[in-house]
Amino acid sequence: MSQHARKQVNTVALAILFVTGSCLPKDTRPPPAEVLVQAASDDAVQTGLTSDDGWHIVFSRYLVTLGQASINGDTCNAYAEGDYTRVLDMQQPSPQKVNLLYGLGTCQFSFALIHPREDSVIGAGVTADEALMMRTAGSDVYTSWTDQLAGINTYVVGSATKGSQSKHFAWPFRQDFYMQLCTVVTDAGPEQDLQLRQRESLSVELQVHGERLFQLGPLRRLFEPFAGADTSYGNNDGDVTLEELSRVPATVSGNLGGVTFVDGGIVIEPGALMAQAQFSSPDAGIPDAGPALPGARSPVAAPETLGDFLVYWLLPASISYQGLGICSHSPRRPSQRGQ
Amino acid sequence: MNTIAPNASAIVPPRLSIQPEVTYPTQGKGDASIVLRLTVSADGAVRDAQVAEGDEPFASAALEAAKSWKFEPATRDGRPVAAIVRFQVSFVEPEPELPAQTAPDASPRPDNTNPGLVAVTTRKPTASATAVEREIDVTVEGERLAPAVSSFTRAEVRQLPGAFGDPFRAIEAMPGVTPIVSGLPFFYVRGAPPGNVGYFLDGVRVPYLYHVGLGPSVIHPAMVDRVDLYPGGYPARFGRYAGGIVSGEAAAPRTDLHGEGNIRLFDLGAMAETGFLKGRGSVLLGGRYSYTATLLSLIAPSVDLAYRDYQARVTYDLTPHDRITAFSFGAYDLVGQRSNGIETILFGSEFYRLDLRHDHDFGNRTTLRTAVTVGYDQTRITDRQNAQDRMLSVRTALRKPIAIGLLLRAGADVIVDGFTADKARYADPESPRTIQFNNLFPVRNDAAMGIWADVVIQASRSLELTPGLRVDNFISNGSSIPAIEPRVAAKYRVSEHLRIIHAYGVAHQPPSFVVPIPGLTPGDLQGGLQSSVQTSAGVEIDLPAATTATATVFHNAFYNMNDALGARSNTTSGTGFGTALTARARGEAYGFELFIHRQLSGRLGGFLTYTLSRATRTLNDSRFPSAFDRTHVANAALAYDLGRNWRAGTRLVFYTGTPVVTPTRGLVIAQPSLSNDRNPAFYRVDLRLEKRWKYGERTWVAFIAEVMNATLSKEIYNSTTIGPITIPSIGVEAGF
Repeated sequence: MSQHARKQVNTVALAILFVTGSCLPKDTRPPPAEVLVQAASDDAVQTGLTSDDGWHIVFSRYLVTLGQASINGDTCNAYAEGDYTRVLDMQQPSPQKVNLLYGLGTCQFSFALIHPREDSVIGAGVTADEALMMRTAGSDVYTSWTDQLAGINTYVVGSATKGSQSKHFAWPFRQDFYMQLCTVVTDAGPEQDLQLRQRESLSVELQVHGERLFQLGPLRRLFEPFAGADTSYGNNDGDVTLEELSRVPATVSGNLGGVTFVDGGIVIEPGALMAQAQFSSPDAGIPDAGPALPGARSPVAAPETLGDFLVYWLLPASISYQGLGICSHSPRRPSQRGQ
Repeated sequence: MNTIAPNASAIVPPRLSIQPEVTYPTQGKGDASIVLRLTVSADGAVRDAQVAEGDEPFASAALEAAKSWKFEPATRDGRPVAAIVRFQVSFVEPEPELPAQTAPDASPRPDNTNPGLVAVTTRKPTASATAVEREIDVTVEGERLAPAVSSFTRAEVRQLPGAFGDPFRAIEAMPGVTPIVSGLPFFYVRGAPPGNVGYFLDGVRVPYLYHVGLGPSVIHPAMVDRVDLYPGGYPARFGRYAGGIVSGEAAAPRTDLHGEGNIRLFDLGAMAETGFLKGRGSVLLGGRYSYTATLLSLIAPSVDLAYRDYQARVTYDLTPHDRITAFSFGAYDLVGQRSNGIETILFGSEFYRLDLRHDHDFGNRTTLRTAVTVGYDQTRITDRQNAQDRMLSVRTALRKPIAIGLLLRAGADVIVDGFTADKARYADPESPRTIQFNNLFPVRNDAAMGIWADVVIQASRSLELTPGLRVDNFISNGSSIPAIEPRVAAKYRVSEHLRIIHAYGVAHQPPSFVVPIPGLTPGDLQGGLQSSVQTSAGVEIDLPAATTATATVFHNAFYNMNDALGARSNTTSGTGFGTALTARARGEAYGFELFIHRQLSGRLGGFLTYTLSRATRTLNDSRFPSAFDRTHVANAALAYDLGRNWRAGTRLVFYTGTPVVTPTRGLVIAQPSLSNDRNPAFYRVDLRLEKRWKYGERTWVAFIAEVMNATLSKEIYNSTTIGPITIPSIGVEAGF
């Protein structure tokens, strides 16, 4: 090649480099699977339920904030995870999108039940004022184990009637939860893994079970203890508040954490429901909630009140995975992932 | 503009008029060659002397002697002019003392046989002198340093512990600079956030200065002669940044073969330059390559970290009045993760520049530079779109004396940026962060046009005034906003050793991102231009022992500023980072700076910088301290020649803590209250040790051990413990 020609080539190459060139490698990753995370609600949320002790319970509002879904594992490659949350009106037609993930390999699924943030997507049927209400910081007896203010991840409003008795409730749940080790029971046994293959589309469904908020034992949905919180431990104004529920004492009995309510309360038999609520434990590899403030009680300790049981056990257990599957849940400190 | 090819008939270099006396230092050993950078005034006196190359104890000996030298001044067309000349002093180790019949002449003897060639050799009295010739450039004094600027030469920065020989790393030690986190290459300058600080190399905009992973600067140190920090009130030729300006001056072209290289723990680098066609041209090649990826694979196999940079320059004198230069440089950074055989790029960034310039000397100290620059930037962030910027810029700068004591400087430029983006292949389209990112950096073409001019007025022997004006027009996606920026600087020489310096200016800038990242420039002029009014006043004092001290008070006012990092407090609850990126705040910064400086390259050198300041922000009618306000920032460095070619240095960095800002975690706080709590103060100690071996006059090899944060200090930021960020470096350098 002549010197002149060589100069021309070099000039063109240089020009090409500056016009289109790049040394950054292209994205050579194989095409991933697409995982659509959705949320649905059970009939209880949509149309209400009748408890086993005769109360007819109807929900007038059922808002839940879900998101920050992720896939992980030693043989899992997460291409894109859920970096946002969505405020959902669970009484809207189901299912509703929560997040969209991309990944490959054998993955375990996790997500968060957490208060909304400024950039949370507001789902259908949710007003901006409601989202703002759930973002407004506050505290209650259940989040006092840290010194952090908390928002509202679940807002449940409803009423219960039995004969001439009528109670109303409006519960802002502020304790956030990190839900992981989501497991579904198959014919072959418990299965935690999602198999993500190239170009496949999968869906993961989270189901919100409103009836589980009152499941004080296997197949035992009871509202009487809740009513008693207002009648016997509260101001008997017809509103059952979370604060009143925190006054209803309970003791733990049984290896599986059955709850016995004294002083006219009710005995909760140990059963599958309690087994589903697995608490943070180093052995289980679940993130530890961390120490509580001096003098405050750790939320992972056994429940001492009906309110404890509702907030720390029943609420997170009310969200199932892929039908009847369960996720291990741990109370979330503000310093944990995604904060 | 630093150097133009001298016309032998128009410019006569200064010549020694009195034979200089230079004593071979008693602690010296072997031969040595010292190159001094002398400013010879029009009356022939040495007004300033700096060591450009060379080591102790010879450097101090040459420097001390040079101050008393007398020259026949340089002339241009027969008129005496000030000149900057590189002047070589060669020390030759004396031979063993001879018997009585030997009576050599011990006087040093300059060689003035070749214009522009100045050399002195000196020996102990028992030795005979031999002249050493070496072609050295002569620079007729052109661009004087503006008032109100802090500078470090490369020779000094080499000795600065914690800087790893990088001139740009010395910025963090300069007065007015507030670190974000120790070791991180982003900082506030007199209250201006990192995204408002502009970086230039020889007038070419550089998108960022440092490689990832606390890596070195993207420009090989041997390429950089000096780094200037303009914290405010900068000359009219700088614009489009509302904070400070960091300007690096490339080393002037040389036609003698020379170079240097180094191998360190994490990277290796080299630079070489030589002349061709009998000195009419020069070519320089340099670069750096990191092998961190290989090293990391031994301890963290899943992480990839790589960086490299290159520099190339060719100059050619078409005529004695015309020089063309092609200057190209670029950098590449990559952070990736490998898992289960799949490589994911977490962060990748690259930029390239090609600057073609023509310098013409009209004579009578009138020069014109015309330049074209093309550039390409790209940044890739996982889960986000890739951003690219293709840039084309044309600029011209004129320098012309219009009367005695009146120097006009003027210029114009146009820059066009073509921003493009590739959508992220695998991302949730509903993700608010993805949506915001795409909206913040849309595909579009931006343009900026500017004209500027200032006049250096030597109003009297003591007073120099520089009024200036800059006018810019910014265009982005159909939006167009003009900006007018008056500037004025003044230097008043009260006495030979005392000067008063003032600098005032207005500056504007388009919307900026948190930190400078290639290709990531907010588009559409959303929210309008950022503005600042910068004022400073100070005194500069020459103290004994070649020490200077500068004390300055300053005040900066910011309007409509982007400061996602700093405009946060407990009262801005509910404002997520996404909103903070586009939020506009007012700001203010005021304070006092002290800079006491003795050249680090001397036998005993050091400096002390101290900044006492307050930076505030006002957002939504709430006024609060900037989230990175630090009341006290101090740097103290000491470098000492231990003898036998050993040098040691230490630097102490200290700063008080920032306001405690409790993360709101996206919550809305009904009644937020401003907290007076501050994070703990931080200090760290950097160490440097060097042993050098010399072979002949110009060849040397050095072993260098250096540690940034040898104290393993940790930093507390809003209840989060950071670090210790400690960077050790062991390496070998060599030069010829």
